[in-house]
Amino acid sequence: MRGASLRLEGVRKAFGSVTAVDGVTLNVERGTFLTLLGSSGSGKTTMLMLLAGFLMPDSGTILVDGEPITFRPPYKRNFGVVFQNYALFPHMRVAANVGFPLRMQGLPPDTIRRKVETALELVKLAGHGARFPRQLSGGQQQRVALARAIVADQPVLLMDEPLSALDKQLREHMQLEVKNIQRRLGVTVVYVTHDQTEALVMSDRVAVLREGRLEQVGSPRDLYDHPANRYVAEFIGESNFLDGTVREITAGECRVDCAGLLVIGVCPPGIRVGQRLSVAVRPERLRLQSEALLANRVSATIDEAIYVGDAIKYRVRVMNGPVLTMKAGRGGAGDDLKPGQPVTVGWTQEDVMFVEAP
Amino acid sequence: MKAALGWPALVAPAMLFLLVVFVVPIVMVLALSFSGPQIGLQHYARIATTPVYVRVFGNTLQIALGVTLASLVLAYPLAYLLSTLGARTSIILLGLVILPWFTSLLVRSFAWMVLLGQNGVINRGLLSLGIIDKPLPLLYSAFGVYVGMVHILLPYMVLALYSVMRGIDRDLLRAAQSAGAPPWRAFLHVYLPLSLPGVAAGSLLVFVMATGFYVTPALLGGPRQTMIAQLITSEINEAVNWEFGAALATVLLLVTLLGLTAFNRLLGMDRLLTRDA
Repeated sequence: MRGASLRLEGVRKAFGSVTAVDGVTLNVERGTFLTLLGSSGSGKTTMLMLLAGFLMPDSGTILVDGEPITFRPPYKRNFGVVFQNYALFPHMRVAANVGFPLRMQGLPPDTIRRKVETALELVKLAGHGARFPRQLSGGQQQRVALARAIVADQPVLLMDEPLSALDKQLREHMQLEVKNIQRRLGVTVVYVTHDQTEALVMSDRVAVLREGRLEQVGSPRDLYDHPANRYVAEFIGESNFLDGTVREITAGECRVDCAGLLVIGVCPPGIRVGQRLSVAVRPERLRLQSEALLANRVSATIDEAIYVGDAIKYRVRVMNGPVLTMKAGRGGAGDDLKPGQPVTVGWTQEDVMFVEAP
Repeated sequence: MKAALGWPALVAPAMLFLLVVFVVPIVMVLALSFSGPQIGLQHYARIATTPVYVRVFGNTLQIALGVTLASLVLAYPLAYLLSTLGARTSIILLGLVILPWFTSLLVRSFAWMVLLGQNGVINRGLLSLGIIDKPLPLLYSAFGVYVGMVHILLPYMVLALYSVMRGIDRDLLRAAQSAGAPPWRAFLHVYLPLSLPGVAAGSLLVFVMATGFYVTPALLGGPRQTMIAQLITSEINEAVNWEFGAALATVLLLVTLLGLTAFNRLLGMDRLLTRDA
């Protein structure tokens, strides 16, 4: 494996009175695709700049394979960096752009040519070496930037929202391709994005950042199915939140009273009777009652139907209760419900997620 | 459709203006230089065979090149600094760079006479500090001419460089550094080549303006710093030899065009855009 492991220890960085990164400790294992996910101002780009060496932390340590590199200048780190706007050298041809890191290492021209060819093949741009960047499309420019960031066997690849300038279809295609290249090379990737879908699709691990602090680090499945708190549950995917009080705990089952609506879920450890908390249920977990097995069942009416192509989203008004969002796949029983229609919706105990009250 | 019909009308006033005040006079000067008592090349023959004219053309080129080079060396770091600053600071500092334009060229040249003279501020200061024991020949020398001309032409160079440098993406330097280039190599391989259009534009502007300088060398220079514009003036105003003056002006025009071509070869946009990897 060519990747290196990364570790941040208590890293802090402030700009004036604004703390951009506030004491972050994070491990990135060798060969892992880790995404720093957060809204703007969460400190994710600052963290990437600290890793790249363009910024120095106020305190804390950054280690590569156990070796501290906190204050090592960027040109001695041998990390590949892919910028949001590609940052290709406009006065150099594609081959010279890709070969630039090798040229800086003083490799002989033959070796450079060979390695550049291999890198261009990997990003499916073989034969484009003689073009100038401006003669390429946005997606192609992004591939050149990627080739430049891996050509010198860089063990770490840092990417700053590299796909955000591409249109949706191309972006989705590139997500898979970047992921493939990462897996083939075994390189460690730290990827910055504000797009939760992108984070879920590409990452082995996702670190959710908020105001310079880590909210949760875990696999995409962890984050989606077991959000550590309300922020993560709201940021990743959609949820129906109901605030309530724990009434009863029996045989690992919690009964939570949410303003008269009793919600039954699988009890996570550390929950006490009388505790105030929020339960969250993903819209796609709500289903029309056709099977009697569902532990949670409510009578409701359809308020609104929103057609989104591969699914239909319903706003469902519970009798004397909240309005829930339900996402129904096409072709099922929920394909064509009309506003005003009475329905019974339900969800299982496993579908209920517990997060702290807001 | 409307635009296609409209553009000749939009261009016409400027074209007419240029035709009347620029093209016509130049053609007249050109025609004049071949006449005189009789039609022919006698004025040009006289320029080529008289050592003093050849020497003054040499002076002019040398001074113009020197001033261009000195302006470039002084302006490059300044423009670089300005381009890295925030919008507000850079606008204030640019204002300071342009400030001298609010005083006339003549006033500024006289001011330099006061500063550089035998009994000027600089010489007296150095004398009283005991650093020198006789006044330095600052005025009526090449030094005076360079100082005066660079002072006047520097803002043009700064502005030309600044406008190009402002457009250079700072991420390119970061990209170069993360690719293993120490700052000086990042500058050499990325920043410098991308700033060349500004270098070319600024150098052209300063060089062309410098070749036609009249007041500054006349006031701050000695006989050895005589520039061609001074000779043209004296031919026309004192010798009242319009034809010969016109021939000198024509040669100056040719020399300037030659300089332009040379600059374009060295630093031109075309070279930059087709540069090999």
